Amino acid sequence: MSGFDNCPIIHSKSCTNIKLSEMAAEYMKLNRKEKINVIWLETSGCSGNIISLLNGENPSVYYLMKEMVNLTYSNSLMCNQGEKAYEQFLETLNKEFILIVEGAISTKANGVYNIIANYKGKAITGMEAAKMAGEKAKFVIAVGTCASFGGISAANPNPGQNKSLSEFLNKEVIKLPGCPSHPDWVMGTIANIIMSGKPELDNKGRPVMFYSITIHDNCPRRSYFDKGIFAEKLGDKECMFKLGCRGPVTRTDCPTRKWNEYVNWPIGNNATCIGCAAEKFPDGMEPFVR
Amino acid sequence: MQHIIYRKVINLNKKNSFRQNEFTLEELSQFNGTKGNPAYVAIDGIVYDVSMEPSWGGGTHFALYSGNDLSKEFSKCHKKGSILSNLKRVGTIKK
Repeated sequence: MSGFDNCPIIHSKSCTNIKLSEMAAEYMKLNRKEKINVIWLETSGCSGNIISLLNGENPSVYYLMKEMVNLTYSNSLMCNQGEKAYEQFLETLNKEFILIVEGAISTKANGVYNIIANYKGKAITGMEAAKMAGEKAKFVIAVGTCASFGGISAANPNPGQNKSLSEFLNKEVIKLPGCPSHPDWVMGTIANIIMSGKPELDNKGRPVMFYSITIHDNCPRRSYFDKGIFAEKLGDKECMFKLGCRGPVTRTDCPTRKWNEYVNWPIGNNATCIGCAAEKFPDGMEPFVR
Repeated sequence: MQHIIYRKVINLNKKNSFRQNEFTLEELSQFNGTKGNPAYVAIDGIVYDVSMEPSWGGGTHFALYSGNDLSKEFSKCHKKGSILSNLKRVGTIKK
């Protein structure tokens, strides 16, 4: 157990998201606002982001759905199947909703390499669904690096001609990159939207409250870097910059927030940061380990 | 006045001293950022030290490896200008 585990400031940082979410729920009750609808559309990706969301602790996805949003469509989590499920998607388009997309948009051959539904004899592509919902959504959020910047789905040679959501839609997109995105980043952004609209974004469309400083600037091994003391192999306790760590070019709060219910993160596990939330991941972050 | 001229000469020599270190491509290949070696790259005949550049972790950058002449790859991605002028020059490629 490191000193970080006993630090009340670090502990409070992992709890700030629950405070934000509780404030959002309280705000809705006080102002008699109904929960906003959310469509969570999975396009050309791995479903890693919805699985990550299920790992949420402060708050849990149960709290999100009970107190904060009306999740009307999610192909992974909803009960309805087949055409009935897609009809829920279509019904939501006529109401106020937040569109969340995970996965890139496959555009080759009119999007036929990513079919998200079959409806009345017609195959509905992810491209078509994203366009329909994107045009009508009050807010559009790209969750995960694939939706935010293309990510693994758009990695060379990109046979499906995958694009990021913002390249495809002609609309402002709030980007929550990460492979996957942290559940706190997603739920914290939704909480902010509920209370005060779009959060402050940086020049790449990412909320400043989660993405403003580099991993390098918050890394517990930073003093080794500053003294020029470097790990020679994985497992050494010193700075892993010479082993290919991408912490200096990746802007997330992984060192303080950590993952899997705030237990650990790559450098804490003696692995290099591979820059999974960086704009050019994965091609631009290769090789991951030298 | 004399000490100002002296300092200018020293600085000019420092700026030009990198030209005195010449590398063959084979010699350059050793400076690939592994086994404690610094990471050098050659662009348009000038050798730069990228060992501590944030985007050159492990002596690598966008799947490119230091210890090589990367003139072609550089010109595909970057315009000449502030990037090169901010890098430390350590020598030139022997012609």
